[in-house]
Amino acid sequence: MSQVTHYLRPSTVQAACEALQANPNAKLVAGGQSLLPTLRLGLALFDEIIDLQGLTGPQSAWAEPVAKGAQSATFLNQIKRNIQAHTLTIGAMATHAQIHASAAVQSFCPMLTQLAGGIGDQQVRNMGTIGGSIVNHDPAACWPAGLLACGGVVNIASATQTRHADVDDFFTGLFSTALEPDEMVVSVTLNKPLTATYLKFDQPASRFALVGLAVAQHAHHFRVAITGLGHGAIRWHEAEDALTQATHITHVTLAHALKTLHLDPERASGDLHASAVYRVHIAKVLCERAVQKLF
Amino acid sequence: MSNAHQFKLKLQVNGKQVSQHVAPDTSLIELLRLDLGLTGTNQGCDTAQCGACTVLVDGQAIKSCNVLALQMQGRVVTTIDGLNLAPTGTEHLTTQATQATQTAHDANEAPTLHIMQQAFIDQGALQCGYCTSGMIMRAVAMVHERVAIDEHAVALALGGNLCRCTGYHNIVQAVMQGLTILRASQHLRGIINTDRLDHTNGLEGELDVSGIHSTHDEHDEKHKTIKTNQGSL
Repeated sequence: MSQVTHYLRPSTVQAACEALQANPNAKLVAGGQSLLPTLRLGLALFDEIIDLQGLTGPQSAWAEPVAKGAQSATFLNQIKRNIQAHTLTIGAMATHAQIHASAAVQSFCPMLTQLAGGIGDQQVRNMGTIGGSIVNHDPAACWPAGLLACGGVVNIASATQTRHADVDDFFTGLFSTALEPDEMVVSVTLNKPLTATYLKFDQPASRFALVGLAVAQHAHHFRVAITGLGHGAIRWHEAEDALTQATHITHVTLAHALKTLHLDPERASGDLHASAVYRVHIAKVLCERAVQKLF
Repeated sequence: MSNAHQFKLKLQVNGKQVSQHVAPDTSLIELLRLDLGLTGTNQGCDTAQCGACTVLVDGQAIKSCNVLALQMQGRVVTTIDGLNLAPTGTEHLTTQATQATQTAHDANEAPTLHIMQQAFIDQGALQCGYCTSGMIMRAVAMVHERVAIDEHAVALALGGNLCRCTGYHNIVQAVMQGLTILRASQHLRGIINTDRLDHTNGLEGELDVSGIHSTHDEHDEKHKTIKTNQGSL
């Protein structure tokens, strides 16, 4: 027998936040692609579902919501590019398929398009959302690495306030984020890298990343982010520094800068698919391949 | 809200308005199979891995074991049971298909099949058949996706659907046959328009109008061959 006895479908972010504040045992459901299997397997316990599907606009992978008129401004699956600020804001309820098909995302940073298209399978991408993915922070999820490589902020709302968390502070560890129990993610605002790529070493059965690594070149520095090591997504600062300090940006000099780098296996954990040592090895290889691909 | 922890759900399933009270943790497939009696959709792993339960929601393929029925409020759901019925969210996908199939068969022969269903028969693309309804629904959604009609692209796009008999070769061939005919017929009717192609660039290149006639001929010939084979068995 199920323990879920209550259901709410709010039509505003404020209503969703108030419901969350009123019942700490409630669970926000975005696409539900990670939550439903855990519910089915008895791994999640909650008594109320707050369904966020009511916060989305037109639902179609190929019909990108257009911000015309005030009403559409409340849609949580909007994708908006700010040309002046060199940022892209993706609504928390934007699905992976929608992001993959978005011309705005493609022109902003093709790495994000590619990353979105590689998550799960098409059926999962049609339901699963970027907000749900980052809040769940599965240690093998792709989005956290993409966000950390771009840099930017996670826009968060609660019943009483809104705030912006730097993505570097948002992912705090395995299945954990800086989100408070009464808060929800509204959108993410990402900085535009000069160039970036994401390489994923698939775990072939689940299509999650056994290890995934994103390299992004920004105006004055590089950002390198790794997912799949086991403790959640992390930045690899040693690699970032080595790449940033390389005297010339060619794949030869950058690859040379990476040669002597060490990624401590302590930062990874092993499971039946791969040991910690193997995972850090794959991360290092992916980093070299990413640099070769970019330059 | 109502008693016994049930909540009102309104949606469209296979062209019919459905109004039902469901529990918060009822999945879409439970609603379809148990409440609505639409048993064409099969329940496989129940954890979003096998794709046997794939249905269309507003024309997009999703795994019905992995969404809550209540999440589908106001949406248009099409299952294999209603694939050749109109009007649905995929009317534009199916009307021509139904007509084409009807002309290819004896008009008295019922029920008519969707072009993708016929393609699976033509290519012998099933063994035990458990994954078939999910495979066909996934394939129908590919018509509007950036899926090129070649073996690699189709196999990749079928990544979320498992066939435990491992009969993938014929399944991929069937999907390619179905996509070729469906895209060609829609292109002729002007249904695939440039507005939609803005976000799915590359689709235009896949439409081979010149090959339509030969495709239909090939389709008919294969169909005859299968029939002959069956007769000799």
